[in-house]
Amino acid sequence: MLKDSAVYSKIILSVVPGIAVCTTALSALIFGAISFVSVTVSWLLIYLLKGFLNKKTAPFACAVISLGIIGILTMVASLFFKAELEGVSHYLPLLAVTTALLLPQEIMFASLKDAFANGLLQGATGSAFLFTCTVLKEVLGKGSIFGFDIYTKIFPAAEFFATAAGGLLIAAGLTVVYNLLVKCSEKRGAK
Amino acid sequence: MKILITLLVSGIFTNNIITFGLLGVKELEESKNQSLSSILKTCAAFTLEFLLGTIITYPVLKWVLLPLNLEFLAPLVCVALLCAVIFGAYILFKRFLPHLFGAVFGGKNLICSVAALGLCLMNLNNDLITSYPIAILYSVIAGLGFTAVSVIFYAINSRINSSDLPRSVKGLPITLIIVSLLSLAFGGFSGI
Repeated sequence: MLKDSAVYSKIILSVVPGIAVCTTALSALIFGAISFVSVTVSWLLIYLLKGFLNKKTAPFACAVISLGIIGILTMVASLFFKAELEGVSHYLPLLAVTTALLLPQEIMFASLKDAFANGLLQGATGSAFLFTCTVLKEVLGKGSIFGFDIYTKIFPAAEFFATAAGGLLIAAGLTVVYNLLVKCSEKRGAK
Repeated sequence: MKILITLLVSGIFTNNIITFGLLGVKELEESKNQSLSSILKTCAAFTLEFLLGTIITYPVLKWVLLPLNLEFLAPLVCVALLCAVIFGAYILFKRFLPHLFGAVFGGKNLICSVAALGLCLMNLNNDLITSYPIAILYSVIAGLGFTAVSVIFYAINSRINSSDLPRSVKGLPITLIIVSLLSLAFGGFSGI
């Protein structure tokens, strides 16, 4: 699935709004964890409910299920990380809609193992990508990691990378690296 | 007049739904191989969705959920109302305006639009939106902002297509780079 660039693109596009709002590695970790759990559980629930759904109703059902899970997780997370979720919480529900878009129609015919594996892998890929992007954003844009200063006493951080535009540029760079890795693995496979 | 100019600058440039919130990047990526007329039709459809979405969701969120402290239900309510309004528009267009039906709904999954849901949710916390008519006006302006970015993206992309890009940069990376530069350029208006 990860070698399929169409699926990879969909996963990355689903976390792009998160790149705009996550400015610290900790907020990305919380955002990513909520995203990971909601995607995985949504896939499983949709699989279990597939007898009652059809191709048209499945995305809507997935959006509602995902929103419910995100809502519960956000409420729990805000008890412990209120400050980190301050600017992020409004973007979390948007994940539900993208989850619904990610849900391919094949899930209606997939096995439980496939549904679980797809959900797990999609959630993990999106969360890992968001976390990596935000860590780079924090390191390059603020010169710190998890709030700990790294190099700003020696030279100033490039503040551009802390903005949404900088985050997108980092995301583009990571996607280029991913494309190069896929290309290399294809060459090895051909040999 | 001052309010109108503020809303225009905010909706199109500084708080543009694509360049500021990064909502709707997926739609840009999907529009890559489309013609300009097709992109404009898509933008018109999204503007209609923003407008209808705001008309329906704003009163419910502002006058029902907020006074009852049920803000946490806003996303769920917005998704349900957006689905209902799009489905209603779908039936009405099909029944009464069949000549416009293809242009508005042809091949577009409007129900799953992150941009529309984002706009409806962010209307609640936008300091510029002080009343219902302003919210409706702002939704149309947000649609104009969406159209402006889509058209600029089309123009840049059509020039890039004719150049020889490395294979690993083609596709999603170049989309992200273009949106990043547009975000930077539009952010420059924030001082106004």
